[in-house]
Amino acid sequence: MRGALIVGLILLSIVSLGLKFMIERPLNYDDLETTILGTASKKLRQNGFVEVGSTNPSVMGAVHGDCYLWMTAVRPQGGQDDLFEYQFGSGLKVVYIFDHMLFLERPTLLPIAKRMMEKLRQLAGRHPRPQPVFQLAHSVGCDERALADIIDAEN
Amino acid sequence: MSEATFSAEDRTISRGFALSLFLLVGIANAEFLNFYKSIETSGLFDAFMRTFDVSVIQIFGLYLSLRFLKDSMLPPFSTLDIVVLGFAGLLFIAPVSGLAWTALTLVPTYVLIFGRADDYGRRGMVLMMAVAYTSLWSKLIFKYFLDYILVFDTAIISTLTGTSRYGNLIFAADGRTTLEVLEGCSSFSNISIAVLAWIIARTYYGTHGVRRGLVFICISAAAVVAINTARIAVIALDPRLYELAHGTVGATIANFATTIAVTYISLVGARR
Repeated sequence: MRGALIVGLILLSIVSLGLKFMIERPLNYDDLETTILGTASKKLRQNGFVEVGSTNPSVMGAVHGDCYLWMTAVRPQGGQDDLFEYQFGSGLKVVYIFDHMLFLERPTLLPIAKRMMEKLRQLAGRHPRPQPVFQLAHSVGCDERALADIIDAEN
Repeated sequence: MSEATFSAEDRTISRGFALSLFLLVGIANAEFLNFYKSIETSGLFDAFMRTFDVSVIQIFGLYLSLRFLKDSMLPPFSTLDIVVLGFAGLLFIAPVSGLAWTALTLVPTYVLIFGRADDYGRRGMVLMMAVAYTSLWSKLIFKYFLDYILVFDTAIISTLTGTSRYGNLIFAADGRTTLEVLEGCSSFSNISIAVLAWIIARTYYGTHGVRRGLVFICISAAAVVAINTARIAVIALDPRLYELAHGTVGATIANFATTIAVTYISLVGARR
Protein backbone atom coordinates (compact mmCIF):
# COMPACT_ATOMS: atom_id res chain seq x y z
CA MET A 1 0.00 0.00 0.00
CA ARG A 2 2.86 2.34 0.87
CA GLY A 3 4.51 1.48 -2.44
CA ALA A 4 1.28 2.17 -4.35
CA LEU A 5 0.90 5.51 -2.59
CA ILE A 6 4.45 6.58 -3.41
CA VAL A 7 4.17 5.46 -7.04
CA GLY A 8 0.82 7.27 -7.31
CA LEU A 9 2.24 10.50 -5.93
CA ILE A 10 5.29 10.31 -8.21
CA LEU A 11 3.00 9.75 -11.20
CA LEU A 12 0.77 12.66 -10.14
CA SER A 13 3.85 14.88 -9.84
CA ILE A 14 5.21 13.88 -13.24
CA VAL A 15 1.88 14.33 -15.03
CA SER A 16 0.88 17.60 -13.34
CA LEU A 17 4.28 19.32 -13.47
CA GLY A 18 4.97 17.93 -16.95
CA LEU A 19 1.71 19.38 -18.27
CA LYS A 20 2.45 22.74 -16.67
CA PHE A 21 5.96 22.75 -18.10
CA MET A 22 4.61 22.02 -21.57
CA ILE A 23 1.59 24.32 -21.56
CA GLU A 24 1.52 26.96 -18.84
CA ARG A 25 3.26 30.22 -19.57
CA PRO A 26 2.89 33.64 -17.91
CA LEU A 27 0.19 35.71 -19.61
CA ASN A 28 1.89 39.07 -19.65
CA TYR A 29 0.40 41.80 -21.81
CA ASP A 30 3.38 44.07 -21.13
CA ASP A 31 5.51 41.73 -23.29
CA LEU A 32 2.94 41.95 -26.06
CA GLU A 33 2.64 45.75 -25.95
CA THR A 34 4.46 46.35 -29.26
CA THR A 35 2.39 43.71 -31.05
CA ILE A 36 -0.87 44.97 -29.54
CA LEU A 37 -0.27 48.61 -30.45
CA GLY A 38 1.16 47.58 -33.85
CA THR A 39 -2.01 45.69 -34.74
CA ALA A 40 -4.29 48.49 -33.55
CA SER A 41 -2.19 51.03 -35.46
CA LYS A 42 -2.47 48.92 -38.63
CA LYS A 43 -6.26 48.87 -38.30
CA LEU A 44 -6.38 52.65 -37.89
CA ARG A 45 -4.18 53.12 -40.98
CA GLN A 46 -6.47 50.81 -42.95
CA ASN A 47 -9.30 53.19 -42.02
CA GLY A 48 -7.59 56.33 -43.28
CA PHE A 49 -5.71 57.43 -40.15
CA VAL A 50 -2.15 58.72 -40.36
CA GLU A 51 0.17 57.79 -37.51
CA VAL A 52 1.94 60.62 -35.67
CA GLY A 53 5.06 60.41 -33.51
CA SER A 54 4.83 60.10 -29.75
CA THR A 55 7.31 60.96 -27.01
CA ASN A 56 6.28 57.78 -25.21
CA PRO A 57 6.94 54.47 -27.05
CA SER A 58 3.96 52.90 -25.23
CA VAL A 59 1.61 55.50 -26.71
CA MET A 60 0.64 55.88 -30.36
CA GLY A 61 -0.91 58.90 -31.97
CA ALA A 62 -3.10 59.05 -35.09
CA VAL A 63 -4.98 61.70 -37.03
CA HIS A 64 -7.75 61.58 -39.62
CA GLY A 65 -9.41 64.85 -40.66
CA ASP A 66 -10.50 66.70 -37.52
CA CYS A 67 -10.15 63.57 -35.39
CA TYR A 68 -6.88 63.07 -33.58
CA LEU A 69 -6.15 60.64 -30.83
CA TRP A 70 -3.56 59.17 -28.49
CA MET A 71 -3.87 55.55 -27.54
CA THR A 72 -2.20 53.05 -25.21
CA ALA A 73 -2.90 49.59 -23.79
CA VAL A 74 -3.46 49.62 -20.02
CA ARG A 75 -3.70 46.92 -17.37
CA PRO A 76 -7.30 46.05 -16.49
CA GLN A 77 -6.50 46.29 -12.78
CA GLY A 78 -5.35 49.90 -13.22
CA GLY A 79 -2.26 51.84 -12.22
CA GLN A 80 -1.32 53.22 -15.63
CA ASP A 81 -4.30 55.43 -16.49
CA ASP A 82 -3.36 58.54 -14.55
CA LEU A 83 0.01 58.98 -16.23
CA PHE A 84 -1.54 58.70 -19.70
CA GLU A 85 -4.34 61.07 -18.77
CA TYR A 86 -1.87 63.56 -17.31
CA GLN A 87 0.50 63.42 -20.30
CA PHE A 88 -1.95 63.13 -23.19
CA GLY A 89 -5.45 63.84 -21.91
CA SER A 90 -5.33 67.61 -21.57
CA GLY A 91 -8.26 69.16 -23.50
CA LEU A 92 -9.25 65.75 -24.90
CA LYS A 93 -11.91 63.24 -23.93
CA VAL A 94 -10.55 60.07 -22.32
CA VAL A 95 -12.38 56.79 -22.96
CA TYR A 96 -11.64 53.07 -22.82
CA ILE A 97 -12.18 50.39 -25.44
CA PHE A 98 -12.34 46.70 -24.62
CA ASP A 99 -13.52 43.93 -26.90
CA HIS A 100 -15.10 46.48 -29.33
CA MET A 101 -17.04 48.08 -26.47
CA LEU A 102 -16.73 51.67 -25.33
CA PHE A 103 -16.39 52.61 -21.64
CA LEU A 104 -16.16 55.97 -19.88
CA GLU A 105 -14.51 54.28 -16.86
CA ARG A 106 -11.87 51.56 -17.21
CA PRO A 107 -13.65 48.20 -17.11
CA THR A 108 -12.19 45.95 -14.43
CA LEU A 109 -14.23 42.81 -13.90
CA LEU A 110 -14.90 42.00 -17.55
CA PRO A 111 -11.23 42.05 -18.67
CA ILE A 112 -10.14 40.09 -15.61
CA ALA A 113 -12.86 37.49 -16.30
CA LYS A 114 -11.81 37.34 -19.97
CA ARG A 115 -8.19 36.99 -18.91
CA MET A 116 -9.13 34.02 -16.75
CA MET A 117 -10.94 32.53 -19.75
CA GLU A 118 -7.75 32.97 -21.76
CA LYS A 119 -5.86 31.10 -19.05
CA LEU A 120 -8.39 28.30 -19.36
CA ARG A 121 -7.84 28.24 -23.14
CA GLN A 122 -4.31 27.22 -22.27
CA LEU A 123 -5.79 24.05 -20.76
CA ALA A 124 -6.53 22.93 -24.29
CA GLY A 125 -3.02 23.88 -25.35
CA ARG A 126 -4.34 26.86 -27.34
CA HIS A 127 -2.48 30.14 -27.46
CA PRO A 128 -4.18 32.86 -25.41
CA ARG A 129 -5.43 35.82 -27.45
CA PRO A 130 -4.37 39.18 -26.06
CA GLN A 131 -7.41 41.28 -25.22
CA PRO A 132 -6.04 44.47 -23.74
CA VAL A 133 -7.95 47.48 -22.47
CA PHE A 134 -7.20 50.45 -24.72
CA GLN A 135 -7.17 53.91 -23.20
CA LEU A 136 -7.86 56.68 -25.68
CA ALA A 137 -7.62 60.44 -25.49
CA HIS A 138 -9.41 61.88 -28.50
CA SER A 139 -10.59 65.18 -29.92
CA VAL A 140 -14.27 66.09 -30.29
CA GLY A 141 -14.07 65.33 -34.01
CA CYS A 142 -13.77 61.58 -33.43
CA ASP A 143 -16.61 59.10 -33.66
CA GLU A 144 -16.01 57.00 -30.53
CA ARG A 145 -18.25 54.15 -31.58
CA ALA A 146 -16.52 53.88 -34.94
CA LEU A 147 -13.16 53.83 -33.14
CA ALA A 148 -14.38 51.02 -30.86
CA ASP A 149 -15.30 49.01 -33.94
CA ILE A 150 -11.94 49.63 -35.57
CA ILE A 151 -9.57 49.13 -32.67
CA ASP A 152 -8.81 45.61 -31.62
CA ALA A 153 -5.68 43.65 -30.93
CA GLU A 154 -6.68 40.75 -33.14
CA ASN A 155 -5.50 40.54 -36.72
CA MET B 1 -3.56 -1.48 12.58
CA SER B 2 -3.50 1.69 14.59
CA GLU B 3 -6.09 4.30 13.79
CA ALA B 4 -3.50 6.70 12.47
CA THR B 5 -1.94 4.37 9.95
CA PHE B 6 -2.60 4.31 6.25
CA SER B 7 -2.05 0.60 5.86
CA ALA B 8 -1.36 -2.53 7.81
CA GLU B 9 1.62 -4.89 7.80
CA ASP B 10 5.12 -4.02 8.87
CA ARG B 11 5.74 -1.02 6.64
CA THR B 12 3.09 1.54 7.42
CA ILE B 13 2.61 5.19 6.68
CA SER B 14 0.34 7.50 8.62
CA ARG B 15 -2.63 9.10 6.90
CA GLY B 16 -1.35 12.48 8.03
CA PHE B 17 1.97 11.82 6.32
CA ALA B 18 0.21 10.58 3.17
CA LEU B 19 -1.94 13.71 3.09
CA SER B 20 1.07 15.98 3.62
CA LEU B 21 2.87 14.31 0.67
CA PHE B 22 -0.24 14.79 -1.48
CA LEU B 23 -0.43 18.48 -0.56
CA LEU B 24 3.31 18.83 -1.22
CA VAL B 25 2.63 17.80 -4.82
CA GLY B 26 -0.09 20.48 -4.85
CA ILE B 27 2.31 23.12 -3.54
CA ALA B 28 4.85 22.26 -6.26
CA ASN B 29 2.10 22.76 -8.85
CA ALA B 30 0.79 25.94 -7.24
CA GLU B 31 4.23 27.54 -7.15
CA PHE B 32 5.16 26.39 -10.67
CA LEU B 33 4.40 29.71 -12.37
CA ASN B 34 6.29 31.72 -9.72
CA PHE B 35 9.33 29.50 -10.17
CA TYR B 36 9.07 29.63 -13.97
CA LYS B 37 8.77 33.43 -14.08
CA SER B 38 11.54 33.89 -11.54
CA ILE B 39 13.99 31.61 -13.37
CA GLU B 40 13.07 33.08 -16.77
CA THR B 41 13.62 36.62 -15.50
CA SER B 42 16.70 36.19 -13.30
CA GLY B 43 18.33 32.86 -14.12
CA LEU B 44 18.44 29.85 -11.83
CA PHE B 45 21.05 31.09 -9.35
CA ASP B 46 19.57 34.58 -8.85
CA ALA B 47 16.07 33.10 -8.68
CA PHE B 48 17.23 30.70 -5.99
CA MET B 49 18.85 33.55 -4.04
CA ARG B 50 15.55 35.45 -4.26
CA THR B 51 13.68 32.33 -3.06
CA PHE B 52 11.95 32.28 -6.47
CA ASP B 53 10.10 35.50 -5.59
CA VAL B 54 8.15 33.66 -2.91
CA SER B 55 8.20 35.26 0.54
CA VAL B 56 10.23 33.32 3.12
CA ILE B 57 7.25 33.74 5.45
CA GLN B 58 5.06 31.88 2.95
CA ILE B 59 7.70 29.17 2.56
CA PHE B 60 7.93 28.79 6.33
CA GLY B 61 4.12 28.68 6.56
CA LEU B 62 3.99 25.85 4.03
CA TYR B 63 6.76 23.96 5.80
CA LEU B 64 5.04 24.27 9.16
CA SER B 65 1.69 23.28 7.68
CA LEU B 66 3.16 20.07 6.24
CA ARG B 67 4.94 19.31 9.53
CA PHE B 68 1.74 19.65 11.53
CA LEU B 69 -0.10 17.46 9.02
CA LYS B 70 2.64 14.84 9.05
CA ASP B 71 2.27 14.48 12.82
CA SER B 72 -1.52 14.59 12.83
CA MET B 73 -3.80 11.65 13.58
CA LEU B 74 -6.46 11.49 10.88
CA PRO B 75 -9.50 9.18 10.88
CA PRO B 76 -9.77 6.57 8.09
CA PHE B 77 -10.54 8.16 4.73
CA SER B 78 -14.24 8.12 3.88
CA THR B 79 -15.68 7.98 0.37
CA LEU B 80 -16.30 11.73 0.48
CA ASP B 81 -12.68 12.30 1.56
CA ILE B 82 -11.49 10.32 -1.47
CA VAL B 83 -13.82 12.28 -3.79
CA VAL B 84 -12.56 15.63 -2.45
CA LEU B 85 -8.91 14.55 -2.69
CA GLY B 86 -9.52 13.18 -6.20
CA PHE B 87 -11.03 16.48 -7.29
CA ALA B 88 -8.07 18.32 -5.75
CA GLY B 89 -5.75 15.97 -7.68
CA LEU B 90 -7.51 16.93 -10.93
CA LEU B 91 -7.03 20.61 -10.11
CA PHE B 92 -3.31 19.91 -9.51
CA ILE B 93 -3.06 18.28 -12.93
CA ALA B 94 -4.74 21.18 -14.80
CA PRO B 95 -1.97 23.34 -16.29
CA VAL B 96 -3.03 26.51 -14.47
CA SER B 97 -1.15 27.16 -11.22
CA GLY B 98 -4.04 29.18 -9.80
CA LEU B 99 -6.23 26.06 -9.86
CA ALA B 100 -3.69 24.25 -7.67
CA TRP B 101 -4.01 27.11 -5.14
CA THR B 102 -7.79 26.69 -5.40
CA ALA B 103 -7.35 23.01 -4.51
CA LEU B 104 -5.08 23.96 -1.62
CA THR B 105 -7.93 26.16 -0.36
CA LEU B 106 -10.60 23.54 -0.99
CA VAL B 107 -8.95 20.66 0.93
CA PRO B 108 -8.34 22.62 4.17
CA THR B 109 -11.84 24.13 3.97
CA TYR B 110 -13.34 20.64 3.67
CA VAL B 111 -11.20 19.19 6.47
CA LEU B 112 -11.96 22.10 8.82
CA ILE B 113 -15.71 22.19 8.08
CA PHE B 114 -16.21 18.43 8.39
CA GLY B 115 -13.87 18.12 11.38
CA ARG B 116 -11.70 15.50 9.71
CA ALA B 117 -8.55 16.20 11.75
CA ASP B 118 -7.11 16.37 15.24
CA ASP B 119 -5.51 19.52 16.69
CA TYR B 120 -2.27 19.13 14.69
CA GLY B 121 -4.23 18.46 11.53
CA ARG B 122 -6.38 21.54 12.08
CA ARG B 123 -3.32 23.71 12.66
CA GLY B 124 -1.73 22.38 9.47
CA MET B 125 -4.88 23.04 7.47
CA VAL B 126 -5.32 26.57 8.88
CA LEU B 127 -1.76 27.37 7.81
CA MET B 128 -2.26 25.86 4.35
CA MET B 129 -5.42 27.93 3.91
CA ALA B 130 -3.65 31.10 5.10
CA VAL B 131 -0.79 30.61 2.62
CA ALA B 132 -3.26 29.91 -0.21
CA TYR B 133 -5.12 33.08 0.75
CA THR B 134 -1.96 35.24 0.58
CA SER B 135 -0.75 33.55 -2.62
CA LEU B 136 -3.96 33.72 -4.65
CA TRP B 137 -7.06 35.23 -3.11
CA SER B 138 -5.53 38.34 -1.53
CA LYS B 139 -3.82 39.13 -4.85
CA LEU B 140 -7.15 38.94 -6.67
CA ILE B 141 -8.79 41.21 -4.10
CA PHE B 142 -5.80 43.56 -4.28
CA LYS B 143 -6.08 43.72 -8.09
CA TYR B 144 -9.77 44.58 -7.92
CA PHE B 145 -9.23 47.49 -5.53
CA LEU B 146 -5.85 48.49 -6.99
CA ASP B 147 -6.99 51.94 -8.19
CA TYR B 148 -8.10 53.02 -4.72
CA ILE B 149 -5.10 51.41 -3.02
CA LEU B 150 -2.59 53.18 -5.28
CA VAL B 151 -4.27 56.54 -4.79
CA PHE B 152 -4.23 55.98 -1.01
CA ASP B 153 -0.54 55.00 -1.15
CA THR B 154 0.21 58.12 -3.17
CA ALA B 155 -1.73 60.33 -0.76
CA ILE B 156 0.28 59.03 2.22
CA ILE B 157 3.62 59.61 0.48
CA SER B 158 2.74 63.05 -0.86
CA THR B 159 1.38 64.15 2.54
CA LEU B 160 4.51 62.97 4.34
CA THR B 161 6.90 64.54 1.84
CA GLY B 162 4.89 67.69 1.16
CA THR B 163 4.87 66.98 -2.59
CA SER B 164 1.87 67.36 -4.88
CA ARG B 165 0.06 64.48 -6.57
CA TYR B 166 -2.39 63.52 -9.30
CA GLY B 167 -4.09 60.13 -9.04
CA ASN B 168 -1.24 57.69 -8.49
CA LEU B 169 1.38 60.19 -9.69
CA ILE B 170 3.71 62.04 -7.34
CA PHE B 171 5.48 65.19 -8.50
CA ALA B 172 8.89 64.88 -6.89
CA ALA B 173 10.52 67.64 -4.87
CA ASP B 174 12.97 68.52 -7.68
CA GLY B 175 10.03 69.87 -9.71
CA ARG B 176 11.03 67.88 -12.82
CA THR B 177 10.39 64.23 -11.95
CA THR B 178 7.06 62.44 -11.90
CA LEU B 179 6.79 59.16 -9.99
CA GLU B 180 4.12 56.62 -10.89
CA VAL B 181 3.16 54.42 -7.94
CA LEU B 182 2.43 50.96 -9.36
CA GLU B 183 1.43 47.57 -8.00
CA GLY B 184 4.96 46.55 -7.02
CA CYS B 185 5.59 49.83 -5.17
CA SER B 186 2.39 49.66 -3.16
CA SER B 187 2.77 49.44 0.60
CA PHE B 188 -0.48 47.56 0.85
CA SER B 189 0.56 44.61 -1.34
CA ASN B 190 2.51 43.13 1.59
CA ILE B 191 -0.14 43.53 4.26
CA SER B 192 -1.37 39.98 3.63
CA ILE B 193 2.14 38.84 4.62
CA ALA B 194 1.66 40.57 7.98
CA VAL B 195 -1.61 38.66 8.44
CA LEU B 196 0.08 35.40 7.45
CA ALA B 197 2.98 35.97 9.84
CA TRP B 198 0.50 36.43 12.68
CA ILE B 199 -1.44 33.29 11.77
CA ILE B 200 1.81 31.28 11.66
CA ALA B 201 2.96 32.59 15.06
CA ARG B 202 -0.50 32.14 16.57
CA THR B 203 -0.84 28.60 15.21
CA TYR B 204 2.64 27.63 16.37
CA TYR B 205 2.20 28.93 19.91
CA GLY B 206 -1.49 28.12 20.15
CA THR B 207 -2.31 31.73 21.08
CA HIS B 208 -5.95 32.74 21.48
CA GLY B 209 -7.80 36.04 21.44
CA VAL B 210 -9.25 37.84 18.44
CA ARG B 211 -8.65 41.34 19.85
CA ARG B 212 -5.01 40.62 20.53
CA GLY B 213 -4.65 39.20 17.04
CA LEU B 214 -6.17 42.30 15.48
CA VAL B 215 -3.90 44.58 17.52
CA PHE B 216 -0.71 42.78 16.46
CA ILE B 217 -1.82 42.44 12.83
CA CYS B 218 -2.44 46.22 12.79
CA ILE B 219 1.01 46.88 14.28
CA SER B 220 2.61 44.57 11.69
CA ALA B 221 0.65 46.16 8.85
CA ALA B 222 1.67 49.63 10.04
CA ALA B 223 5.32 48.52 10.02
CA VAL B 224 4.96 47.17 6.46
CA VAL B 225 3.38 50.42 5.26
CA ALA B 226 5.98 52.55 7.11
CA ILE B 227 8.96 50.70 5.59
CA ASN B 228 7.68 50.90 2.03
CA THR B 229 6.41 54.45 2.37
CA ALA B 230 9.83 55.53 3.65
CA ARG B 231 11.46 53.90 0.62
CA ILE B 232 9.23 55.68 -1.90
CA ALA B 233 9.33 58.94 0.09
CA VAL B 234 13.13 58.98 -0.23
CA ILE B 235 12.73 58.92 -4.03
CA ALA B 236 10.05 61.61 -3.95
CA LEU B 237 12.35 63.87 -1.96
CA ASP B 238 15.45 63.16 -4.06
CA PRO B 239 14.80 61.38 -7.40
CA ARG B 240 18.56 60.94 -7.89
CA LEU B 241 18.27 58.12 -5.33
CA TYR B 242 15.79 56.25 -7.55
CA GLU B 243 18.21 53.52 -8.65
CA LEU B 244 19.44 52.97 -5.09
CA ALA B 245 16.05 52.99 -3.36
CA HIS B 246 13.98 51.33 -6.10
CA GLY B 247 16.60 48.96 -7.56
CA THR B 248 17.89 45.66 -6.23
CA VAL B 249 19.59 47.21 -3.18
CA GLY B 250 16.54 49.17 -2.02
CA ALA B 251 14.11 46.33 -2.76
CA THR B 252 16.29 43.80 -0.92
CA ILE B 253 16.68 46.03 2.13
CA ALA B 254 12.93 46.80 2.18
CA ASN B 255 11.99 43.11 1.82
CA PHE B 256 14.45 42.09 4.51
CA ALA B 257 13.28 44.83 6.89
CA THR B 258 9.63 43.91 6.23
CA THR B 259 10.25 40.21 6.89
CA ILE B 260 12.16 40.93 10.10
CA ALA B 261 9.56 43.44 11.32
CA VAL B 262 6.47 41.28 10.76
CA THR B 263 8.22 38.18 12.11
CA TYR B 264 9.40 39.98 15.25
CA ILE B 265 6.06 41.69 15.94
CA SER B 266 4.10 38.46 15.37
CA LEU B 267 6.44 36.41 17.59
CA VAL B 268 6.31 38.99 20.38
CA GLY B 269 2.52 39.13 20.13
CA ALA B 270 1.99 35.36 20.05
CA ARG B 271 4.49 34.50 22.81
CA ARG B 272 3.28 36.98 25.42
